[in-house]
Amino acid sequence: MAVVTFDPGHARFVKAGSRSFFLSTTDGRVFHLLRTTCPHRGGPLHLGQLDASRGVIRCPWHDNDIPLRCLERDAAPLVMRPGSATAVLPDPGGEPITVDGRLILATQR
Amino acid sequence: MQHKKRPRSDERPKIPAVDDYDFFARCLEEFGESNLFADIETWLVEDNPYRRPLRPHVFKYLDFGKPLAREELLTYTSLTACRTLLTIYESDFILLPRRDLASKRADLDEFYGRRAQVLGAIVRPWLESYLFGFLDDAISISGRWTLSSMREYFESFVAEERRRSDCSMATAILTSDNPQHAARTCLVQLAGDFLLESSAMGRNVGGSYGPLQSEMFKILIDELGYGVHRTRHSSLYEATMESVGLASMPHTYWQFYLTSSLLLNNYYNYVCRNHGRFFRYIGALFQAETGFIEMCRRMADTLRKVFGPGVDVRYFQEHAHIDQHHSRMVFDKMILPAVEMFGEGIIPDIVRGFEEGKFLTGIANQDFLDQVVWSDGSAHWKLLAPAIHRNIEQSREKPKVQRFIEPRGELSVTHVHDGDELCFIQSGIMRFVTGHERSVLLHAGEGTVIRRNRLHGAIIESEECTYDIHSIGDYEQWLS
Repeated sequence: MAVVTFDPGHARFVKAGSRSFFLSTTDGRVFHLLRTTCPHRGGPLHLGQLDASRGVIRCPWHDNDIPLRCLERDAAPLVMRPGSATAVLPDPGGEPITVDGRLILATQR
Repeated sequence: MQHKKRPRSDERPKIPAVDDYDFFARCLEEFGESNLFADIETWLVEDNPYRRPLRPHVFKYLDFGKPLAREELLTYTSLTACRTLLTIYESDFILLPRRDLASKRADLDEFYGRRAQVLGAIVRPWLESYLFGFLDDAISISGRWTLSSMREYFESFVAEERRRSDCSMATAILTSDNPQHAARTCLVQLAGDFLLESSAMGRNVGGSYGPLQSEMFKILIDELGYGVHRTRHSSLYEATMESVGLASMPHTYWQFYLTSSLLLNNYYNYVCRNHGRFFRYIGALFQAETGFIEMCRRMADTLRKVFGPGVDVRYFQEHAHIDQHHSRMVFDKMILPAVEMFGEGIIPDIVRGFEEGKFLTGIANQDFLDQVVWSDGSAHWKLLAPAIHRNIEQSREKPKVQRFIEPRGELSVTHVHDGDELCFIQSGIMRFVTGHERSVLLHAGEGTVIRRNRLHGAIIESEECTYDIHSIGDYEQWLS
């Protein structure tokens, strides 16, 4: 696993090896770092349509409405505080960790 | 297994006895009517832990109904809530004067009396929501936390702490124009908590919660010096205070606690007073015990640099050592077993407490630094006053102004303002106070800029003094 701190005001997309995540919120208070892959056929949920009132994201590939509560169960552990966010990401297996395309160093012990 | 949470309080049906703000406001005013909380005529409260100036005559003008926003943490209303809440929390603790109890017996009876207890019980949850409700918005914990992700998260924090070479409080002291004053100010800020050390923690000793309870007790007995009074941590802190010429009786410097110092002290009571917040507390405890190791090492070095070899730094040396054990004990013997016993559903609470403690500590450090810088700049702020006053006189749109005429000895209990103010003397002499034993004398035609959120008070040193307080908002707009 890797601990990554980033500025959520500038970055909303995090990639650890082959797995990628995006920041999502329906109320501006609680934020989730959700997997980008649709559980149906792997569509890019970060490009989908968020419907906060129904609590779903519509996948752009097959128009499936994926309940946020299902996605939140698999969300990466995340702490959001004023000005920064820290996530615990799965082991990238030697691959780099990137935030919005920029390579960053995970916290090293 | 994830835990099912109760709905947020704003999603539950309202109950008049619990949710009626007007009822709370009346109880708060009643609470403030005790003589114990009235204004006093001295800066220090000597050997009377029950007397705490709260400026209760202002209660009725303040709104505690909506939780503070993050940018309001250091406002006057927040300071008032902090002073009042700590007073209520500490009525759970045994506080006795060192001398002459007989003359203070009536104060003791009133402090612990039925009236204060009943009103305090009604007021406390409102003030807690007012002061700490913002944390729910400021800090969001989400995702699927597992034992291993939590371990990874905390271990990265421990590694970061081990690499840390800076201590913002030490830096503020060493870079001050008057390091000795800054160091004493720092010790005063810490005294509110350290002279009653582990009292909040002690709230967790009762009850029945298995092996965790015994682990908590082990930490507590370290704090209490194993029953040997001179090794009790608060005794060590008393020695530190006395070695630099400060009084060691709790709350002697009540008027000089910054809002953030009170806020942090209140926070530990907040998470310990209500045992529904126990898991948050062990997260906050882990953060405090871990963050304290390096901070105490740096404080011991800094105090020696500033005061020389005569300063007693055993308190800080003891913590730099024992908190290495406490950090490990909280993590290995409390957090990990708690997750094993109660499931991964408690992890977000633990992480929340950890983050909240860290966040409030950061606010306290910054507030201390800002107060030191402002107090150091007294001559500068005094120098600016005549020009700002002239610009106000010549301006068409004048800011709100209040005139005060006060007799010799009139003491204005310390407070803060929510925007910049200009204090300008029309006649007489005022001693404007920016900290314990730190002040600037203002004569007729002189004044000073009171920066937003900075703690200050005043005392009149002429037969009479007439002065104006202009609410200028942002002093810079009155400079040109």
